[in-house]
Amino acid sequence: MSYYRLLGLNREPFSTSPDPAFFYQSEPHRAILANLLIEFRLKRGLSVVLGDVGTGKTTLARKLIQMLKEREGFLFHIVLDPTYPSEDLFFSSLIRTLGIGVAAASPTLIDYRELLEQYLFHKSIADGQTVVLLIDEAHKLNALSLEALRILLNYETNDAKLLQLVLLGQLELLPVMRGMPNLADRISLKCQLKPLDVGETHEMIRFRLREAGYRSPAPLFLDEAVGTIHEFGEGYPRRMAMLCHRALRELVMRRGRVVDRTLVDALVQADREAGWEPSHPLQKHVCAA
Amino acid sequence: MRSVMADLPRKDTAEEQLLRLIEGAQPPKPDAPPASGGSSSGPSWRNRLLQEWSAASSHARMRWHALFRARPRGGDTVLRQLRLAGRFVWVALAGLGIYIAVTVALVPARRPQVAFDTGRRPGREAVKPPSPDTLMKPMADYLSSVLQRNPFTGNSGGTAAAPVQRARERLKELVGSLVVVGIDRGATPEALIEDKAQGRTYFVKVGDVVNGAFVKEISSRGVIVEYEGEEELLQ
Repeated sequence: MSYYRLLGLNREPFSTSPDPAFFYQSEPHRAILANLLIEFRLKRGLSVVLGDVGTGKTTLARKLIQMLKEREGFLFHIVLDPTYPSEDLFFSSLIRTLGIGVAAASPTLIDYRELLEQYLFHKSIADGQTVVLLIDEAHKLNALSLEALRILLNYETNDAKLLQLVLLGQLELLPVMRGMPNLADRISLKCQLKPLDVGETHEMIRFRLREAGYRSPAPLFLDEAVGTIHEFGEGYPRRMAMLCHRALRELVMRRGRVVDRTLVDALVQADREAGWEPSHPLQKHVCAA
Repeated sequence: MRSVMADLPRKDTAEEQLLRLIEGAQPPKPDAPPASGGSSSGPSWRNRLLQEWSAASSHARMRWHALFRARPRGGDTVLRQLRLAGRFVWVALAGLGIYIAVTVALVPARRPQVAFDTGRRPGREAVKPPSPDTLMKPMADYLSSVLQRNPFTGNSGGTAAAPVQRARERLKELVGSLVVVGIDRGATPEALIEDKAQGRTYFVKVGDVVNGAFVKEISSRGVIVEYEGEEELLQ
């Protein structure tokens, strides 16, 4: 039996897998999702979502795909790791991702571009579909790949882009795109995922516990514990979820009833003593819209 | 910390309101199944029909499975017995339905036979209802045939000469002392008959019985009486 069943839960509440069901939508998250859908409907082209490590970019992408599945007229694809050493490989991978058949035995870059153009024209104009391409970990894109994407964004009619592109990446992508003005100028939507505040942290924990099947009126986390979790996790959902998971596991081992500040402090202290301090510098840039 | 179950309704953000405005004519599909490969091409009405049929058939399969094939886990004997009883009830109802359908469709309708002898005993045949011919005859003929039956000998009129002779003699004996005193030829003819042997008078009309003889007719000529088919005119 899993430990969470002893707490009256049906599923693990604080898994770090990008399950859309456990994606807590704060108001900023909801605004970002709504803005992205608006951009798709209006066929504006390029949208960029930046966020620090552990802010929920991948989970947001999964949630966005779930929302697109509920709507008609969308063809969506996601690239999880856009690490390509050359432009040819990037287009080749893109062709495979979109499911486009290649007739030529040794296709060249021009062949790839033509195939992509025909595919986008056929799907967007003839079939009336909206083709959406999500690229996660977009900060791994090199200049050649970004240039290739810029070319794809050139495929448009008089009033709409044929390809709706969403780049989700860490803040390192920002200076790269700033260095490409011809691409940066095409960005229609710019948004950033920020850490959660204390109130949102409360809501996130409650939401996850409820989704995992917790129905008891007695809280599992005291307010003081949530405050400590937020303080240690600095509002980053992944870090806080991992700490909550460890706290519940410790609670079960100690046969306790509720996670209090003492328990959380003990876990944090154990990490510090072992040398597991936060290694990445927290960047709190504010992007110009 | 607030109760886990305390949920306040979330207010839409401005972006969500705008999205709803844009998608006003294109609302999201409810409960759309996840598509493998991420495409949603093809006619929307066909996809919707396929999804609805798939959901309906899936729901029907789930109900069938839950009703007939699901095995309860653990040792819940009461639940197991209830399920078994439910299955028996379904089988019985189905059998009853089939029986009724076969009975109505194959077996011709039979009219119930009414027994006129309500006091009949088991094993005895029911008395046949009177035929239309019998019903059409006058009451006098019916009474005449009843009186002609001799319950002791079983004769009903007889055709032999000896029985006729005996009937004639008997009639003479019965009405020999009767004389007609007067006749009232009104709406219902009546006759005043005097029995000189006993010194008694009788008012009789057609159908009456006097001294064992049946009054058959009253006219200006006299009164005709009948006994076992033999007639005598009293004057």
